Amino acid sequence: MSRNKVARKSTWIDMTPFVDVAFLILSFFIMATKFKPEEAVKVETPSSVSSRELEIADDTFVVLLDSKGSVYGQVAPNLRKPIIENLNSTRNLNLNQDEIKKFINSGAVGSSYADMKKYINEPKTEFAKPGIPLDSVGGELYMWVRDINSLTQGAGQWYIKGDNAAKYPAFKDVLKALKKNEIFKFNLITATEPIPTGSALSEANKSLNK
Amino acid sequence: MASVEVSQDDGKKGPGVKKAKKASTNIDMTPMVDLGFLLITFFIFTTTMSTPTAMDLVVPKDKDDKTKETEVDQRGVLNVLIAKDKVYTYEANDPLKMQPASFTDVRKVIVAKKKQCDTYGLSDKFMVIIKPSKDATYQHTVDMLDEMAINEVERYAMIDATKQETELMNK
Repeated sequence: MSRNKVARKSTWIDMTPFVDVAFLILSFFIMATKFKPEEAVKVETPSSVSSRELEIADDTFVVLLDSKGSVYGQVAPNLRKPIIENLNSTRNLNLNQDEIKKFINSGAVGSSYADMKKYINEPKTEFAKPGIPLDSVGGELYMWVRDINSLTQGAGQWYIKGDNAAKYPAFKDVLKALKKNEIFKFNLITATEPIPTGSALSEANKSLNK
Repeated sequence: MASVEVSQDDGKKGPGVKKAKKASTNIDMTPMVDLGFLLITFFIFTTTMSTPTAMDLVVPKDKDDKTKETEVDQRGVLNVLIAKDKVYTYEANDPLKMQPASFTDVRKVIVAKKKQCDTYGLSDKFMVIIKPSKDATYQHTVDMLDEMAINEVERYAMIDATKQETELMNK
């Protein structure tokens, strides 16, 4: 009895193309990635049709408004050193050189002046909960804005980055802190959203492109 | 591809010449692929494709003197009140005629009012007043400001809802 022998095929697969594709995708993601800068709180921004790309340059101050209505600040790198040294002496923050350096590295403001020493050392702990004191007349956020405004001699740029779930009264208080400093023009940081077709804006853009 | 072809030269070297043992040039690429895909997964998860944009907001100065408040022609005014999960709209200064609308339908209301103003020659009087209530979220407030940009509403203002309006909204 003879049986037909089934030819044994090798189980070896040439993985080379597979590797090629994998590394191609990998290099794409590596090159396309830009890491998010570390921020004091997690904020999910609403979206808008605005097409102006965000550019956080010198002399900017970003007000972060989180979902619970707490307010944090992010100081532009060029302002960090003068502002912290100024505050350290005028408000008796008792910061040592090491703590000043820490602030210059992060630029995050997330507490009252009184708690700043603690906050700089442990920014992720309980001290960060209430954020910068804010009330309907501006609170300490008003003072931060005032100090930065005088430091930049009016050239400061103001950004508000609010969370979707933040309530309107908190936003209003932020606006008030800025308005009290005679700042009436600012930018809201948003995510991109496509312009709805058929709307007045999309029609206007269409006729512009013609 | 990765395996280099090795020429077969059996028995050409004559007797006594020992054949060098040929090591396979096939490399097991599985760990490399594993690592590659691990990195890909990492970058996919950490990447956010959306680029943040900035939206301009210009607010007027608070006036201490209430008598100097800006006069508006009520014929062209559309009030948009933002409640917790929907909006209410009414024309001119009659809050009793308040109509509820969803966040997606409010565009139709704005466009209709704009058209109405255009037909009656009130184009330059058309104005939207946004009144977020205490329960309004930041998202809905920004959405409404965005709606102004989408519908090219040139004149709009943002003020607080009055007591009467809040009561009507909560009904």
